[in-house]
Amino acid sequence: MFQDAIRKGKRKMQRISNPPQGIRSDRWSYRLLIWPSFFVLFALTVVPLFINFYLSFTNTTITTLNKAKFIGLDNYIRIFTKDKYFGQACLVTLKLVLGTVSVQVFFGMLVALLWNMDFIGVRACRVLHLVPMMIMGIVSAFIWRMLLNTDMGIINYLLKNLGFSNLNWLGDEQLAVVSVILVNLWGGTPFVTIILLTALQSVDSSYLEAAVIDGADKFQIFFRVILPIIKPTVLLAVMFRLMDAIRQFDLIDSLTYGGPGTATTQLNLYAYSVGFGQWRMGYGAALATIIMFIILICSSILMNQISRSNTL
Amino acid sequence: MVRHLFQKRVLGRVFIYLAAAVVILFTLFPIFYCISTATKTAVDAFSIPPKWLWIPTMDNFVNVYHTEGFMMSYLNSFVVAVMTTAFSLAFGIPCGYALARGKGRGTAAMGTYIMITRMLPAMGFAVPYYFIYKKVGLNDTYIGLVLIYLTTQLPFTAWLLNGFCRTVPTEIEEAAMIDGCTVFQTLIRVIVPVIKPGISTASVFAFMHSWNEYFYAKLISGRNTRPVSYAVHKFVNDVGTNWGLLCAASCMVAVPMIIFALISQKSLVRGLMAGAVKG
Amino acid sequence: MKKILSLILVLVLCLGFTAVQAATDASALDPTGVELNILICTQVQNDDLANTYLQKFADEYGIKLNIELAASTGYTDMLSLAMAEDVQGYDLVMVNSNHWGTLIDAGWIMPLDDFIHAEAEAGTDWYKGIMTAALDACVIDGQRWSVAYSAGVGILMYNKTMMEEAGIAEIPTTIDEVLATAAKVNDPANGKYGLSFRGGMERGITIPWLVNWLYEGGTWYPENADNFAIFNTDAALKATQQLVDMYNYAPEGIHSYAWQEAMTAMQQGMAAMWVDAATLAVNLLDPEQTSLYEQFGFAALDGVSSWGDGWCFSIGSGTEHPEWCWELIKVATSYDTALDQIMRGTAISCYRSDVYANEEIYTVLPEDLCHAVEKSAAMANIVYWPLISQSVEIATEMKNTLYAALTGQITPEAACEEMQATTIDILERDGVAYQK
Repeated sequence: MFQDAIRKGKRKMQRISNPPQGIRSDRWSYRLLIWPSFFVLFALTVVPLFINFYLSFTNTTITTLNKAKFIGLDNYIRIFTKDKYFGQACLVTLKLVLGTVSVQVFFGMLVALLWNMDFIGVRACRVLHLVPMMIMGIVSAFIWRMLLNTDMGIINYLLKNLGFSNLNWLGDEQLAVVSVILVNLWGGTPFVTIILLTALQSVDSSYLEAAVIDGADKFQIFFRVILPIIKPTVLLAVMFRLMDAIRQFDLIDSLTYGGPGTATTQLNLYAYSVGFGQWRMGYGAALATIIMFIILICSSILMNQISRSNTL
Repeated sequence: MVRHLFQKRVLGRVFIYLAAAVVILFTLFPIFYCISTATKTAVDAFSIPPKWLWIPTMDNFVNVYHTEGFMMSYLNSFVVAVMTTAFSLAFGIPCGYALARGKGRGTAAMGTYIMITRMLPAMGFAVPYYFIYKKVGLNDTYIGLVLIYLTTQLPFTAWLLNGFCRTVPTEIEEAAMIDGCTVFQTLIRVIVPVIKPGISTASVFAFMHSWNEYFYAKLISGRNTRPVSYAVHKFVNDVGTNWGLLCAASCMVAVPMIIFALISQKSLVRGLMAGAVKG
Repeated sequence: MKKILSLILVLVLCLGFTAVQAATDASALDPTGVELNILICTQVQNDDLANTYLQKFADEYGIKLNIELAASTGYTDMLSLAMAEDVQGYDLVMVNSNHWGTLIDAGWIMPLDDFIHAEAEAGTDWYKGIMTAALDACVIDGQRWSVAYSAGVGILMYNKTMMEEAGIAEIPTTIDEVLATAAKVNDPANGKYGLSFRGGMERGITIPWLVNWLYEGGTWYPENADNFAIFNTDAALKATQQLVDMYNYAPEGIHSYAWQEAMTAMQQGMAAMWVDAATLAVNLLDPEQTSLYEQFGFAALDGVSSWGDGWCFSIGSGTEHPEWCWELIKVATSYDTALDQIMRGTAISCYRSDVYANEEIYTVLPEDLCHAVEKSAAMANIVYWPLISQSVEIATEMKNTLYAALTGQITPEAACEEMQATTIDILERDGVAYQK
């Protein structure tokens, strides 16, 4: 059956990620290659990280930079007990991140499959599809703000003409979340598509031929042959989009400024509004630290998955 | 090969063209809107019902060109983006290769740290960097901007190239090693030519992210190094946002990016079309 | 020979006389090595001021100006970081009510009373023609911290055609009358709404609330009550009730409106009335932006104090050349500059009564706009946020509570109680002295 094809593919991937003896003994040389990057990044990030961590235990504000008081875990305790916006921000972050990433990866996969086909104009399509990725976050936010305007935007105008009712895209709490996901879908899918397209094109045709010969239909081939082979790349794409979704600031800020009320105020936006807008830098640093921990946990789970799928 | 599986019937072909059309329409409609607003006068830009046909005017583009400091910021952005891309590649290629092939916990740990730096919220860095740069004197320089951009770009490049390096079959490397190459020489002579599409992809992304970066740019750049992302933002002010000028400026900002992407796309597509990596 | 000598003596005396009067003038100062860093928020009026008038002054007197025209988004961040203690990056900065709290609390700008007193005593034309509201833009504990430059005072902007069609004969003069008029004009079925205003974007909800509250006589520094915790007053309750009412007559998407959308609604003839800063009127009168540019009228509302916005100048406390900064402020707010900018069309209002006395401006600006601004400016209260660094946090809490009231989750009374409790919480937490 086409199980053979899958097994062959997995074995090949295994060989790639577990190089044979000869190369492994050069472990030192590989470390030498990675050290420069590591040192550069370490130097650039360790000081701000420590400053941030230290700030989170003080009550610094921009007006008391040199006279801040050390208050221990007060900030953290406050976040978890007295802060009524923190819980809401966590929930919103969950909604936005899950929605954004899943939608982007799903449609990215579909579009990558589409661009992988052979039809007239496919190469032009591939290039044109990249354009939204190149537009600045704030600019795309402004463009979509104009498009999604409830009373004067073109999208509602078209909807009305087609018989649907007006949708309060940016003014309704639920729809605002949908709007953010929609704009991210527009701007972020090209990235996923290009990554997945590259992966799809590197799938060896021999496995697919074998599967076809064995009588598999399209869906079986996709789910049982292609997907397992490109799984590491898919997970990589998921991880990149996840990181970007958690860190996202400019676009949401310009599109909804945290949404009607606090409907789209995710953790990053909340931390910014506290740390920069209200200049409560100590408290903002505590929030930023919590964000970092959340990201750390999510990413280690994902990285685990990736390394596991690399060593099937 | 994948493509042949899905193209059996005529109905299938029609469906494919339709799907492609829908995707391209969704992708390009906002761009079209941006360009149309840029070539309309302000009165037409927001008229309801919207004007589908209009006499295009290049006034907005001319005004943007004459806006003080706009063309200078182009240069600033270009310098910073090129430097960031160069550094990202210079550090990222060896790093990506080491992550792909290197075994051992030291390498993996360093790789994890590199990945994590990308995920850190920008907010946590901005203020410490601002004050450190002021003390050290880096706050209005190109290199200052490049360094802070690297914290997000270098991990990205490294991990992207890591993915690409993994798809290179080990036989080629083994052959090179047997011939007496060190790891470093293998990297330069064997790996780099093979993952050229990956390198061009990574460089497109590095250039693009650096070109579009706004958060750090507005805080760290000084009068002499204002990048173009900041200059675009100046068209949004608190008394009169001139949508036409803003859209025209956005178009002008996006154009070099698109050209750069098109140029590297050719080599990228060529690399992909040259065929899958056969086992 | 004697005649010539006496002539020379008279000439010298004359020169000396004028020189004495110019002792308070820029020519008395030493321009060597003077280099000033100036931060200005970019927009047409401010850019014009910087490039034309300030630069001309600098060239004339031989000083060097490094003018930074900063984008308005993120301006507050830039300003606060740049003026922080260790940095003090600018000598002269453009500020508005959003910034005073932090700047004054931290001591990053200097009081201007000495300069203003000197002008008052010398009885200069500059002092005589400028409105008190501009000098009293930011007064706390009897000290003055800023001079107002662009007069973005609150006025009523209305669409004359829409009002006529709805049969409105009298222009409203209070917020309650505005609401009553809006009810009559409101016709959602035909896409016509009574009001346009700032909605949810960028703390925008709080702006109409502040407008209402100021017209009802609200102030952050009441005479016989605690500072800042003012939400238990009648004015606050009335303002909240009026705000909730306003949302009945606004376009559907109002919750996501920033001032740009609010203005576009006016420009498209969707909304009939808008109470907001006069500096925004420039967009309503621009034929390149709206086809209805001839339909707009302007009026001032009655009230104890009206909302004022617009940019003011302050001098950094770490500057080495405060006198030169003061001279630049005078140039920016002088009769010549103000009149010239209006005549050339780069400004639409100013804070000088001598400019408004000059009827030449009616050739460029509509008369009702000038009268509206003049009347509003005379009683403008630009301190619409408390002058403490907690003002941003209070504003954010207000925004969230008001949103709950607007969506009907809580009553206006409950909203006021909540805002009062939250504000006191914040003040107590940071140990701010607010009780009298």
